[in-house]
Amino acid sequence: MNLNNLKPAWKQFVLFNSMHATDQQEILFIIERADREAISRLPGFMANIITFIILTICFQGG
Amino acid sequence: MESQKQNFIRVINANQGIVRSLCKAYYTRSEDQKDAYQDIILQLWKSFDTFRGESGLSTWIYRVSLNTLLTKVRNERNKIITEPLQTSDDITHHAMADDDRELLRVVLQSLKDVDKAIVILFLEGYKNKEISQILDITPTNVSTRLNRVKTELKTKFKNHGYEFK
Repeated sequence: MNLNNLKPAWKQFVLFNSMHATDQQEILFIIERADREAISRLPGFMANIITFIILTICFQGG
Repeated sequence: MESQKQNFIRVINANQGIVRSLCKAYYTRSEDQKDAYQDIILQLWKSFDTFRGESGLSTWIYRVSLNTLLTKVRNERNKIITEPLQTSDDITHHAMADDDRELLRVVLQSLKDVDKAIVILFLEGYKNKEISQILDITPTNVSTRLNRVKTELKTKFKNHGYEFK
C-alpha cells in the first residue's frame, strides 16, 4: 500500500461532495452578513476616531 | 457588486466539492461541518477581491480553506473530534464503503491537523514546494512531516492488514 494509491479515493471523495446542490441563498446570506457586519462596525469606528481627535485636541500642549 | 457576487457563487458552485470534502475531513458532526463551511465561504469572499489568478482557482480555494480550518481547529482545540471520522449521512457512508475510500477515511482521521492538510494536498497532487506555499511552511518541514506520516502510517496500519510504503 502506498499513499499515492489513495489519490483516486480522494478524487472520488471530492467528486461525491461536489454533487451536493449548493444553496445560492445560503452563500448570499453568508457574504451579505459579512457586509452587514462591516457596515454595523462603521459607526463605532467613527465614534472612536472622533473621541480620539477630541481627546488629542483637549490634552495637547503641556 | 452584484455581478461579483454572482461570479463568486459560480466559483463556489464549481468548487464546492473541495470545500465540503475539507470540512468533512476536519469535522465529523454535520453542524460543525456546516459551521466550518460558512467560515470558509466567508473567508473566500473576503479574499475574492485579492485573488488575481496567479495561482490556480482550486489552489486558492485549498489555501484559504485549509488555513481557515487550521485556525478554526486551533481555536477550538478542546473541541477536536477524537471519535472516528464519520460522515453525517448514510448516503456518504455507503458511498465510502469501498476499501480504498474506507482506508482514506481512517488515514485522515488518524492524522494531526497540519499533517492532515499536507496529506490532503499531497493526495490532490501538489508538490512539496506548492504545499509549503499553500500552508505557509518551509518545503523541508513539508518533506519531514510527510516522511514522518508515512512511517507512522506504516507502523499504525501494519497490524490492520494495510502496508504503507
